[in-house]
Amino acid sequence: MSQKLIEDITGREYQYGFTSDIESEAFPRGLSEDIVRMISAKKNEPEFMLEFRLKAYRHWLTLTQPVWPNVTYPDINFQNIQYYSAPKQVKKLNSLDEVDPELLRTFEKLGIPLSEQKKLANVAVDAIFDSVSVATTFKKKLFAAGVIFCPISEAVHEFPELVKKYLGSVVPHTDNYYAALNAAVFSDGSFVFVPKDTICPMELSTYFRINTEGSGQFERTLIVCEDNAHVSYLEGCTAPQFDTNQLHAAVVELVAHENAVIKYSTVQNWYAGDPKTGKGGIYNFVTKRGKCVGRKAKISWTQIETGSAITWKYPSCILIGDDSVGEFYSVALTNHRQQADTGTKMVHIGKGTRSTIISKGISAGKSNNTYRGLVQMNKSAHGAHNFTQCDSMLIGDRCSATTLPYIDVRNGTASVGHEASTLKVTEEQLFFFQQRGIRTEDAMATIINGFCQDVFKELPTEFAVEATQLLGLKLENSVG
Amino acid sequence: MLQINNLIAQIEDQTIINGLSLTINPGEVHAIMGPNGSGKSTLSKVLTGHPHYTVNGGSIQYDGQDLLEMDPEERAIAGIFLAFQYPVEIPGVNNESFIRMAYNAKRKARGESEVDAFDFAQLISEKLKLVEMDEEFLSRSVNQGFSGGEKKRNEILQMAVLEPKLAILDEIDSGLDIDALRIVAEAVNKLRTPDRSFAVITHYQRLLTYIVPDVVHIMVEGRIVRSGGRELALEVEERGYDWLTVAASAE
Amino acid sequence: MTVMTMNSTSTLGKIAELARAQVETGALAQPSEEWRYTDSSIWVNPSESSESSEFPVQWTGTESITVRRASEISDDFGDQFGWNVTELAGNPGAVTTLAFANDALIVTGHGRVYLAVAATAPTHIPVVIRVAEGDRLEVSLVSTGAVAGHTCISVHLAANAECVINEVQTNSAPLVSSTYLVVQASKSHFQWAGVDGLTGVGIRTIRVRQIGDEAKTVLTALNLGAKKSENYIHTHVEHLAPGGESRQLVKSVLTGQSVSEFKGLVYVAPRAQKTDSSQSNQNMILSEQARALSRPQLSIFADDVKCAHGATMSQLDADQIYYLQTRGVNPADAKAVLMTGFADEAVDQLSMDSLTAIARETVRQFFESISES
Repeated sequence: MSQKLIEDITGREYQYGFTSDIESEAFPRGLSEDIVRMISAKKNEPEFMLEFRLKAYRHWLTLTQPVWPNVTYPDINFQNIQYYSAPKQVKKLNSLDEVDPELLRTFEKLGIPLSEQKKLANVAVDAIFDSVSVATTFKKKLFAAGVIFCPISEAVHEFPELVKKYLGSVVPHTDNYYAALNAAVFSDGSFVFVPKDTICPMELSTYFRINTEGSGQFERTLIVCEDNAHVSYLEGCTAPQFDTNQLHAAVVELVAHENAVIKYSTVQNWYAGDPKTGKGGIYNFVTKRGKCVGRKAKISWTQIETGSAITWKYPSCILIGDDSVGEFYSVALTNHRQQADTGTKMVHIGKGTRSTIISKGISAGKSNNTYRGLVQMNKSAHGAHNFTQCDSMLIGDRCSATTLPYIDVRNGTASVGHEASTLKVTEEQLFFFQQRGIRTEDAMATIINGFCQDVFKELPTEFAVEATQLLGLKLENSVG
Repeated sequence: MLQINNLIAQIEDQTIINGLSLTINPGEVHAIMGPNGSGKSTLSKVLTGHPHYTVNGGSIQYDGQDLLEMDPEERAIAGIFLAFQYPVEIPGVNNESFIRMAYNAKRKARGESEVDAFDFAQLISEKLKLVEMDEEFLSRSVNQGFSGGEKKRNEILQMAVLEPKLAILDEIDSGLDIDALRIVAEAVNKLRTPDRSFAVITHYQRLLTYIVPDVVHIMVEGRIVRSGGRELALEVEERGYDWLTVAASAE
Repeated sequence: MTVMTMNSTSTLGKIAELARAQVETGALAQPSEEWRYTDSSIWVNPSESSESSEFPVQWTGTESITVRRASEISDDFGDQFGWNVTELAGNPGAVTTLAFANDALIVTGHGRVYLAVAATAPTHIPVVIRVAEGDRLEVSLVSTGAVAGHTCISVHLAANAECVINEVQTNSAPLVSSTYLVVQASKSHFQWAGVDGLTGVGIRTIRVRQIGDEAKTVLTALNLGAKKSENYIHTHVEHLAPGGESRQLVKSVLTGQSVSEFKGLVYVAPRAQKTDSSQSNQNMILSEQARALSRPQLSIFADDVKCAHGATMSQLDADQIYYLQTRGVNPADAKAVLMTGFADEAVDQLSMDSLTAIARETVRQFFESISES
């Protein structure tokens, strides 16, 4: 494939790189016990939350940054990050229409209309701008159905018992460096609680936007489904174009009780840095984990990772309940100088637990794309089963693809199957399209979408279309 | 419609087409036969602009345009269709969407509006009958897991949808059992019109009993060494290519 | 610590000195995740080594093969060895072997040679195998007995050369390791097949560098794990030139509380276009306490390559047993047939009949011991 074609297809510019001029209120840069206390005080948090934060902060001080990921970046100065930044809000809002019009415009520009007239018909949205949730749509309708969907800062006040019970129960603050940091400083995020025997009547969605330069985003999402409850949740992210790197260290915890189903989908399109110099962009260091506590519970992760300068995340499932199911469907696209080290962990504990991993990695430009995945069958996991399919596609010869599976079986009745392959778009395929009158760029996008089909089909319909287009945009001008 | 004049073409330093001339008029069916390595498939690739082949001499006029100046997709949109000898597999890409994409590329180039999935489904289900294929073929990935015969039928299906002016059938009979051959040949015959021309590349005259050509050309060492009527194919069947090869090298 | 009987000014002596320095600075004790058995002391305990000047390797081979001891020839071992000791840091097998070796073997020529290690004290044996252009050399290595042994074999293949190594280990020592360092010139062919029936800790490390075009590497291993045995197979195949091919098949049958780990990395350099590589790790776990770890890794920097890897963890297929039962075979025999079939794919790769016979006997005894228990 000619270099020109490759450059053409991968050369598209980031379209969400604008900054919104919104007055914000921010804490001084740097992190200390005082800052942690200030965040807690700002949120007017109950005592247990402050304790939660301080314990995490003190633990964080004893940790060092992980060095094992297959990515390189200069040392992060944690004292040069702003741990709290929020749009200034004078009074308490009574309805969405009282939100700063500039904010509404920002989200509209991102394709997420929030105002009562325009909001998406069948999707409830929680919009998070820098450190705080600015708007949540359909809250009342959901509440009528018994579903709680609100900013976690609100949940702390209104449902303290639930928060106390579940926060940190899947990702404890001791889990890793960034999880500890998040527990200490997280400012907002979404809280979802679906009670027993309830099917959430619509898609829930959180949309994240980092706006202020130099601020980090540390949101925390907690989703709990009681017995027989179902929910489908979507997460979208963008950020303006800055020359400095921004840290995004989120934590997502999912808890599925007996027979519950949680489907968590992410379309990640953070700013990836300057395509030529690699300057700027988001460091996406995220801990996502779900726990299938009850029998026959099911947690399904779908992620489309296209942005960020560096991606470091492993949405995982801890399969405790017998016959519980974990799924991970991932498309990770890296272009230019992006680096991704992403994958999953499936930890089988219960009898008859099953997991499926489908990972599609696409590397272009000078990027570097690593799949890392753990499948662990513990002693108690009688008859457990995993299937993993892990494919890579390279576009051009200046990028790399690395596959690092870890399979650990400690139970003789468990079975694991892992397959991996490397594919390329062949000249013969492109010529076949051309012979049917289709331009090479369209051919390339179609072939790559075909490569990702097994993952796209897991996305809710509205997002499948978006993901397809996003991939096309990301690769436009990159293949010649 | 198509005039090839003294064409010279090569792949990786090796000259395969060496002074070939051929004229095809609207509505004519030309059979191109020849031994292995005589350059038949190369001709089909050069006509459709495959990037591996370079043209070093001669000219190709198509509908009054210089074909060699056109990109492969421009040639396709201008009405040249190649039914590949070995159609590639494209995993994950839905067959029907693919054919619709090609159909719409052509419409777009003509300034016509694109056809939506619903209308196209009607259009293609008509064409499916022609090649005796099930609807199920449409929902599979392009050529993936297709048998040899299914791949060839899928090529003819695309031809039926795209309605080319010049269709090049590259060994459409290879790897087909007798039933599949009949289906393919009958479909091709139904697609014959007074304006549509065909270049049928084949090894065996068997195909030509189904698709009856107006002219038969014998290609040897990158040139057409003899042209004639239907009976030439029968003569080749009987005597093989050797006598023509000898004649060619004697020149 | 063993005193080198070799002249310490010899190249081997210098290499040994460097390696010992690594041992002393704790290079072996690094808590690297690659070495899961955390007790690094198992490596550095040559104290029971006797000062016997008897070299513990016996060899017989075709006349066209020359086997020499490094101590008997002039000072060229280091050049022959060809790998820098610093490159081997973190590879305990190689470092230990080089640090405590009394002597080394150099094998050249073409034809077949049979090396047998039988010792009463722990052994540390570096071997250099050089295969000249167009030659074919076949080496069979058998280790029996109950004494810890470490072998470090460097193999150099010139263009169009072929080297086949068969290794059968039935040693009952607490620790047996062999390390292969292979460099392949263009169109050379390296084949290694190993059958392992060790009862202690067994470690195979195979590093292959394809520096010439169109080289081919075939690695096949069968590991029979029982009781508390631990078996580690670590491969590292570097495709540095275009058109290379590598095939890896690693099979384990695990019973008791045995542990096996396969960790294989296939690296494809940017210029190594048209590389065709496959890696397959198949584990059959026959007891509830056994543990299998598998890490088939790929690191690819070229876009026109075919790389596949796979790993399976499974048990005997109940349908297959049933099928055999319907043909009148009793379940115990059916299991034996299926297990033997599983093992044979690897055993068949052994190219020397005498070794195949030993391997088959090892497999037979192993399966017999399972059905008894």
